Amino acid sequence: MIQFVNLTKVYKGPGQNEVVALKDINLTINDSEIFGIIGLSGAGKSTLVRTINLLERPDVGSVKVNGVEMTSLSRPRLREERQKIGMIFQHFNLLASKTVADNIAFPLKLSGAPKAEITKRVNELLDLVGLSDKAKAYPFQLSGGQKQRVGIARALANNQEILLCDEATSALDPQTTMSILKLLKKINKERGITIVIITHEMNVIKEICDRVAVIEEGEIIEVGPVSEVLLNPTTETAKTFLRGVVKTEVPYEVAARLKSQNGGELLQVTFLGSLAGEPLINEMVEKFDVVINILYGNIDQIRDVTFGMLVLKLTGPEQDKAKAFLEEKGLKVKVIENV
Amino acid sequence: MFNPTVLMMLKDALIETIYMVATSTFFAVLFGLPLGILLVITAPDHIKENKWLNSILGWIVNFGRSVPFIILLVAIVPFTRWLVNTSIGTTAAIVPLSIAAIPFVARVTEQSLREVDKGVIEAALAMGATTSQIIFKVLLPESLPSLVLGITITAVNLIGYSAMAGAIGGGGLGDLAIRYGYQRFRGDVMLLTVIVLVILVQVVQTIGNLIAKSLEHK
Repeated sequence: MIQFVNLTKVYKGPGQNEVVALKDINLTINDSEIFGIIGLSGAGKSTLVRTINLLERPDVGSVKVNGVEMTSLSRPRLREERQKIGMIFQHFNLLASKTVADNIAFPLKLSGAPKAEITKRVNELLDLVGLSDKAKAYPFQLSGGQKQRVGIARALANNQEILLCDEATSALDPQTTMSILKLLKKINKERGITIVIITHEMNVIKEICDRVAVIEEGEIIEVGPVSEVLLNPTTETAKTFLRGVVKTEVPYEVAARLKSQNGGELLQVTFLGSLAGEPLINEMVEKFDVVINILYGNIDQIRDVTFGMLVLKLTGPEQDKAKAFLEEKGLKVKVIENV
Repeated sequence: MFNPTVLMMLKDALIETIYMVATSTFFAVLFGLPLGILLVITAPDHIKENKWLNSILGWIVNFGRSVPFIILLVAIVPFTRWLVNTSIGTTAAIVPLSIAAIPFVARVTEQSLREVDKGVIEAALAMGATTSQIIFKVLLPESLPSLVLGITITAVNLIGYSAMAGAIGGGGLGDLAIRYGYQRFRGDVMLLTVIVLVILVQVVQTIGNLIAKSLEHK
């Protein structure tokens, strides 16, 4: 478990300039979850993730990793704790002078593991990340995705319980990103490792995160399960990220067409999870004296949660009752406009 | 031109030059490399940031590099005498040559180590590496090709400097060229000496390039 309590970090710029990088952060990341931190560049997400292994030292507040207060550790104890936290980077940060196998062995050598154990462990890790045939290659001979796989193997060499991912897929193409995310997901499932991902790509969050925090100007402005934050963003920043990832808005063309038709009420109905499988619209039409016209629909999936969105035109004497029925059943109903 | 006496002198002078350059390169690296490492790690935003130590070291290195070699050669005669019990001869010349090259090696080392990606250092820190592990397992191996080229440049410079060592009876090719070629008007000796120097520099540079290339994985 990683706990941030009242965490604040201020950078002193030139002269009297002060930049508040992190402002009173309170956050708990649970064991074995994949936690995403999303924000624009300069929002403080990089600083936040670096306070976990104290590459950045906070000015105020506490960071606890599995109960250990990181900010009060002596240097040798801090190094010990750092060995339990793996980290991967946007630009991979592999040693150019060492082979793939030696890069993976590097953290083991730092901690003075016996040679036989290192060889065995390196082979296991090469197998895990699917690079057994590249053991003797040098980083310059690898593609971006392969380099990140080496980074992941290296970050797991000491059987780490936590893996920090600093924009780990931002330098990769979409296809390679997917394969790296799949690998991270597999590692999380098989080893129960806690993964903290910082990114500016909403797709990464949508693909593998359990929970997400949205960070803006050093403050956490939203936090919650991914499906909740994605579908009901309350802040502008979150909404900006969501545009294009989860379609919950009526396309412009549809909106224009609706305006030209008269009568009735325009509703946007959003449904989540198991509700997406129930024939609620059909039930509504049978029960009430209404006519519906489905104008636009969309269904998508965020991790294991299916969600859908329909734009309906509702007309008829019992249109208010019908609306209440849908809300009663747990759907989110929003009146777009009275046409 | 190719009479046995001249060739004999040339051979002896070449051996003296190689001896002076190799030994002084060794001592220059022995003292200059740690100095260069200190300059890098005490720099702002590096692993052992120390503003004071960094400025003082930087000042010392600049001071060393600003003294003209021919003046240094004479100025440190007492020190040379104390260290090697003589101020004349090939061995005595190694002292000022090494001292002149130490600040140069320090700067060359500094430049090479600075090229190591900050991200790689950060990754090592995140793995719990100690300062000495970062120096010996990250900074030095990662910059080795560049360091080898820097040391090669130092050796080539020292071949040039060693010619001045003749001023204190240091021997070597430069000394031969001045005493026989210039002062005794032996144009043939002068020409031969220069040819041998040119070949020596080419050989040293080529070997340096080859070693650097074999170490590079780019």
